[in-house]
Amino acid sequence: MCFNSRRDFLLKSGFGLGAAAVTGLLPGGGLLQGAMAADLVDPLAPKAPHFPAKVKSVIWLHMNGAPSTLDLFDYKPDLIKLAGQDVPASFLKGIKTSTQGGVGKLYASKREWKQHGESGHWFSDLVPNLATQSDKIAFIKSSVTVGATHDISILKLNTGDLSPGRPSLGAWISYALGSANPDLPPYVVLYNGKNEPSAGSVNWNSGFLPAVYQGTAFRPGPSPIFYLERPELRTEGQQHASLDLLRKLNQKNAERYPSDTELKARLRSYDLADRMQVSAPAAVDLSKESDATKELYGINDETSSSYGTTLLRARRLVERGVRFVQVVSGAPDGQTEITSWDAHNDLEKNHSVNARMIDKPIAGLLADLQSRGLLDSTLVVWTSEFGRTSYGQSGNGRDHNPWGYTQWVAGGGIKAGYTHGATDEIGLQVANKDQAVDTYDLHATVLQLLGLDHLKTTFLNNGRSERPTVVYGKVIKELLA
Amino acid sequence: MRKVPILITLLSAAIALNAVCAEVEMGMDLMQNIEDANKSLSSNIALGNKQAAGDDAKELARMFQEVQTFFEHKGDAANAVDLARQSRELSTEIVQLVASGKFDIATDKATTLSRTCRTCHTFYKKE
Repeated sequence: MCFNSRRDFLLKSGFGLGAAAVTGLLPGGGLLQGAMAADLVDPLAPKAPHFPAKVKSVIWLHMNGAPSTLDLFDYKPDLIKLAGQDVPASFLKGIKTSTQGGVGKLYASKREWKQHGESGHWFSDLVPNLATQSDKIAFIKSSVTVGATHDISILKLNTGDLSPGRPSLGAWISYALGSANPDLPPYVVLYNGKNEPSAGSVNWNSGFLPAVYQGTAFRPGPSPIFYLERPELRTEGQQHASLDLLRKLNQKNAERYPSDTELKARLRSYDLADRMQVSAPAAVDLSKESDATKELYGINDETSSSYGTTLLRARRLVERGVRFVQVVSGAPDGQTEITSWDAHNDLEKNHSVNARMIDKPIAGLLADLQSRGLLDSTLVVWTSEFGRTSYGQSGNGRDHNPWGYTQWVAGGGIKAGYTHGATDEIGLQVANKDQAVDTYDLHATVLQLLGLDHLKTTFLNNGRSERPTVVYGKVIKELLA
Repeated sequence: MRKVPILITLLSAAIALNAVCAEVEMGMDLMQNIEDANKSLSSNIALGNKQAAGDDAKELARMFQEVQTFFEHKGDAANAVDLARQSRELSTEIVQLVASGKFDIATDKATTLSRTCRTCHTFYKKE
């Protein structure tokens, strides 16, 4: 092959790359692995998992601000007994606290605790509706993480790293499995409240993966995506003619620059946007949902209405094949004082509002998924960036606690009714470090349920093989049915 | 003439101080090098690169020996000594595994190695 210039060399090499990509689709894999070749043709074409999946979709419920699970799910009678006293030194061994004003006295809020269902899971009076779904839930009471500030720990929760640049879990899933519905993004981010989640879009970014795998944020309200609607002045025919021309021009460019994933994402996004003008509003349109369903999700209650609406949308998206729905809790409509679970002070008030916001909607989601036969193919994850300390802060709040807190999962492939691990007697640290579950382990388990081996879900980035769990991660086998 | 002994004393003190600083500095550089080598190891195992993975694992075994020696001299760090020893042994095991092409098992061991690093950080990493 003769090259007259550097541009000529790169162009002809691109043809070779394209040919290699096509051979990758042939039986036997050709010159490239099938998955890599599929990326170059349609990056969101459905891909087979490594083994049969237990679930098709994930609804990731991020409780933004970090709730105190000591006041929701992790009943600690010793904490109640010792409330008002200094933290015994033995409980502080092995951790470095950095609470402003110093470690406060042990704090117990005014909770009533009961066991529910055959599982006997403990729930506080803050979550009476969720308690009715007790037997669907498997608790992870030995959760740990690193970082004691929200933004970096939220980043770790979603991407596995304390610094930006890595793909989020949803992006990895989009990359590994592709889309199950060509008319909707495989990865959608939902939130309630006026503003986008404060930790930012870096938490649903594709990182070093091709841009097409990033999450699409659907905003609250009837128009989930800005500027999606066709302007009134343009007819549908005119729009299609414009898009056809744009597609042809972009495809010519894509052939010249086959490694430009941003261009591929843009190409695909125009096609997808065209289809989403119909599919996206339909997915989030609740007008055809029954009054009973809306009541189930707490949509008729001022405090839970916005979050309930968000979760009902999540159910509709899962029904339509969206693989990963990342739901970030915000604030009830009209609430400006309490905008997250971050209760450094006045925990009673903060958690009363936030618990009321989410309790009925999440219980409704679990019940609704089950009644529609979707719970067995959906994984619901309750998660947060960390927990809260058993010692008080500002007298009536709790500080951040990465050393031991609770998360839970429900849905397909899960051992419902099970509890994995525990915190110590006062709920400060994980009791048995061998049972500690870090964010990487949660990611590995989610991927496992989707039929993906986290160790084999890899992407070559600048010569280095990367995986979702970085260099860590262990599937929590005890959680699996 | 008195200036000479003073000068020698000052020089000796400077050398001793430098050695202490070098020891602390070695600790921090060493940790960074271990982290880099660990990530490289994980990648090379995933790529099935026997030579590179083996080299990474050997280097890690050598570095964990340094860490172990450091904490043995430091004293009052039994956990760290034990974790460093475990890490060294895991690294050596990985050398054998990649040499015999057992990359799946090597991946598991490498993940365990990473977790061992994190366990030690919980107790000993300065914020």
